[in-house]
Amino acid sequence: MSLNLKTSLAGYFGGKHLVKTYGQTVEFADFREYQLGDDIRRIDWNLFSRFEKYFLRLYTDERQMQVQIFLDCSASMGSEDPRKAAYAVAATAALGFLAVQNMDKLSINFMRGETADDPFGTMVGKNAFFRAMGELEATTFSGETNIEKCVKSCTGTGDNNGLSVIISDFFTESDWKKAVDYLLYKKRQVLLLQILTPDERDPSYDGRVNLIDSEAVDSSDTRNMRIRITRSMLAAYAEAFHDFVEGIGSFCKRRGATFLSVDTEKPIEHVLFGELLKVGIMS
Amino acid sequence: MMQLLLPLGLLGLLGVLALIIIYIIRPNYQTRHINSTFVWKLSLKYKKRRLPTSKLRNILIFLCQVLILTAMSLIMTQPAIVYQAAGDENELIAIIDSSMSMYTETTEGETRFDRALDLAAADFRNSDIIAAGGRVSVIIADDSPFYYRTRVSPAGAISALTELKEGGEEVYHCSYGSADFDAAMRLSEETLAANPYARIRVYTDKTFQYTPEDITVVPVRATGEWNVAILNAHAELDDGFYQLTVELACYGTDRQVDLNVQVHGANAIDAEQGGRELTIEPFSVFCDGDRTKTVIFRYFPKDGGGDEPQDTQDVLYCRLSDSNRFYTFNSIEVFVDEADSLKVDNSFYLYGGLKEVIKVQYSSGHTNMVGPNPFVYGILPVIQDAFSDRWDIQVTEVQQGWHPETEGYDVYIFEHYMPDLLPVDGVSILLDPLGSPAGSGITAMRQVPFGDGRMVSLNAEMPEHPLLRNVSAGEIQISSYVEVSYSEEYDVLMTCNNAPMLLVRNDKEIKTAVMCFSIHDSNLALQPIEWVSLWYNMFDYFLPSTVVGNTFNVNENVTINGRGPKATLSSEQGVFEPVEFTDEDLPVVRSFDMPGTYTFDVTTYFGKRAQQKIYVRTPAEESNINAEDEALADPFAEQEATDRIDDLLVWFAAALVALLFAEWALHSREKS
Repeated sequence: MSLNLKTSLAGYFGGKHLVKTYGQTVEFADFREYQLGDDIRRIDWNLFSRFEKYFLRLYTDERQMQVQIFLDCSASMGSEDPRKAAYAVAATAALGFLAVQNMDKLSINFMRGETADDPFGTMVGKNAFFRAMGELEATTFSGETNIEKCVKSCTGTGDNNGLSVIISDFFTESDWKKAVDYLLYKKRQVLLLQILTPDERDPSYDGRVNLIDSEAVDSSDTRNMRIRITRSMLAAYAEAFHDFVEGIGSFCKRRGATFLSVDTEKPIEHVLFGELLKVGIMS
Repeated sequence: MMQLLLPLGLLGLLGVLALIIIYIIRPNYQTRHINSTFVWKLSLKYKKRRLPTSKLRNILIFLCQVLILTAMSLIMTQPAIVYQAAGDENELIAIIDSSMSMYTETTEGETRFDRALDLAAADFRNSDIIAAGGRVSVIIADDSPFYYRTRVSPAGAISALTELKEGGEEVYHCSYGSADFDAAMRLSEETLAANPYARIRVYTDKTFQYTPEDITVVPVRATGEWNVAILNAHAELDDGFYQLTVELACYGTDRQVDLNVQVHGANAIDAEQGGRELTIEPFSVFCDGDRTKTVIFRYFPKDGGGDEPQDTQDVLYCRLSDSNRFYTFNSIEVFVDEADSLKVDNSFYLYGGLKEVIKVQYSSGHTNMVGPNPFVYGILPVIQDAFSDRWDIQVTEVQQGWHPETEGYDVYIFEHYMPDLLPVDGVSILLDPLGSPAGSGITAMRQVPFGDGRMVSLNAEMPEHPLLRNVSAGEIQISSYVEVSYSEEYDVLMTCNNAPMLLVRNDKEIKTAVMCFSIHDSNLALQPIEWVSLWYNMFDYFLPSTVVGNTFNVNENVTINGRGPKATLSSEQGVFEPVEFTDEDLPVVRSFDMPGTYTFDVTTYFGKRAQQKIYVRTPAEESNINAEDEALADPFAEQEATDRIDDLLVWFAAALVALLFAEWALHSREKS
């Protein structure tokens, strides 16, 4: 199992991703007539015996890609519901393992405020990855996150060299769409993974409630709201939620990015071996 | 206008204030920490988009509770609608007597009914009785009183009364029946319910020993009126000759009256013969003191033994001579030729003196018997007697060695040996059929004896059938029977061990009863009730009268039975055009509102034509033109000068319950 790219990849030498350019692997790709300067060891003598012309055997090339994971570490991702945070960390670890397993470069960026921290640096190989995992479990989720600024501020983003994954609930006022556009501009394949709890999909509370947002600074914060949740209000919530998720999905579809919205109730392996396989990110 | 009978109950509205305070101080919102309110804020836009203006809905429960408290408070105040009892006295209910006695007329030809209409119209014009702007209702009091006009203006009522007086084919005319004043008073309660102060005036020729205070009886009698009336008459056979009894009276004067009797078709053997006209010498009767005199026209044999009854003050005998006696008659006309004030009761007709002949043939072919079956032969005179007021049953017995006829009779009784062909012109009664007459639908198969003298009881399969009226099948036991097969037109009335014992077929043109056992092999003839009832029922069932009886009262229901495909009803007075009934319509019930003679012509299913006449008489009590009744009923009316109150408590209580339900529903919806 490995992460897969749908587009061509410039990348780095030494990886395991087959690319369209010709290289030195054993994977046959095509024939071409001999030209001056070509390595004569590649001439196919069988063809010469039949056509009395020199033909070279061409092989595909393999490259190493960069997998860049942006993890939303805002309070909404887990300060009130640890399951959501645990799920986000698990998804990060799973994707990271798939990358290092396939000899790809991995970087994990924690998005906090307006910056994206990369505490583990670029990881290649399992040893570095497992070292990082120990610290990943201790990740804290607090404050708010500006996804756009975090992504743009990340210095290690290369051009056309791999996959960028944004793991978030996207419950943010910041313009995360610009972040996606930025990554697409850098010719990276983009995966948006939205993590949601069952309560966020279908609220189990009703009546007169004072809703306190986990990212609120204090009780007077405008993000808090006093509301009387009736049946019609719940219907409006369901409609708003549906339009919100559909909006992310349709935006990604227009841009050629991949979007997945998963529920924390859904086992992580279902997401990996089901959803990611289905959308072609994993193969 | 609603009023509060207990205004202090409004103090309950303080509860609304309490409710408001409770809403203000009660902790409404519960704190809940969630990851993000992002979607909730989005949903507010959706909510607002869907319901732009519905602020009231947010406080529906509060409004509901306010209304509940208001309703409770109003209930405590005893809400009611108070009607002012100051009724409108300017309303009149005129009850016009429309009984037969209202036909009593003066020498100038003015009837009491006309006078009642005139008096009522005069009252309607009299402003002392009904002022302008008042309302008048007119009730016609006959056997079934009805509103002729309801709460119209006096002018409208006068116009209606004028229309009544002028008459015409389509306009109501005074009835020949009685006046039901009790029903008229009950009818007036409809108007009194709307206006209890409406006054009642009764225009009648009756006087009453007691009249309610608030009812005015307006007499319509005129001076010099008198009436001689034939109150009743009936004829009955006595020692082979008819005895005619006539009741008559003279009201309003004492008078010597000549009673005339004419017998038409006297001593005829049958209807075709015609008989002779018999005019009995007028019998003079002195009628006095409004007493009913009974005159009995009777033939006393010369060797009667000297026990002839003597005349009394009220019972007089008219001795018929040998030449005047009669044993049959087509009709009897009894009349008085007097110029009295009421003519309609001066004559009386009697019919039914010449019964329709029912010819019965009895044929018994039992080889062991020298003569006819004594049981059957014995029951026929009983049946003759039982139906003597309806039929003249003539029985013909077929002697031993003679072949029975299969035509020319109304009823054929075949016992044991059956004819080859079933008669088609009468009713066939087959007893112990040892053969199978063609056309009967019956096939006799074999004799089945039980042996050892064993007797088995019968079972009734259709106990409600008219043929089994008063017949208990379980009382009948037999020791043998004839096994028969039968067509589906037959009804099985009695069985024995599932074998049919009594079958009956009553089609339009085939009427047959089959008794599948011998009288001698059963105890049937020893059961007096069952034996007589069974024969009576058979004659009654197969040979119904067109009409039972010959004399009826005006408006009395008369049942016309179906005997054939067609029956025609006509009136000798030409009251209506002849009416034809088919067998689909019959039996039908009719009443006649005019006295006189009515004729029923029928053709039976066997092609026999028969005619029956009835006389519709006037009510005897109506002939007394000076009659006095005991009391006039007092209709119920709310006469107290207190206000009428319609309690609204129930409605408010219903509203309270509805509001409680509404609040419960709102709470449920909010929680769901």
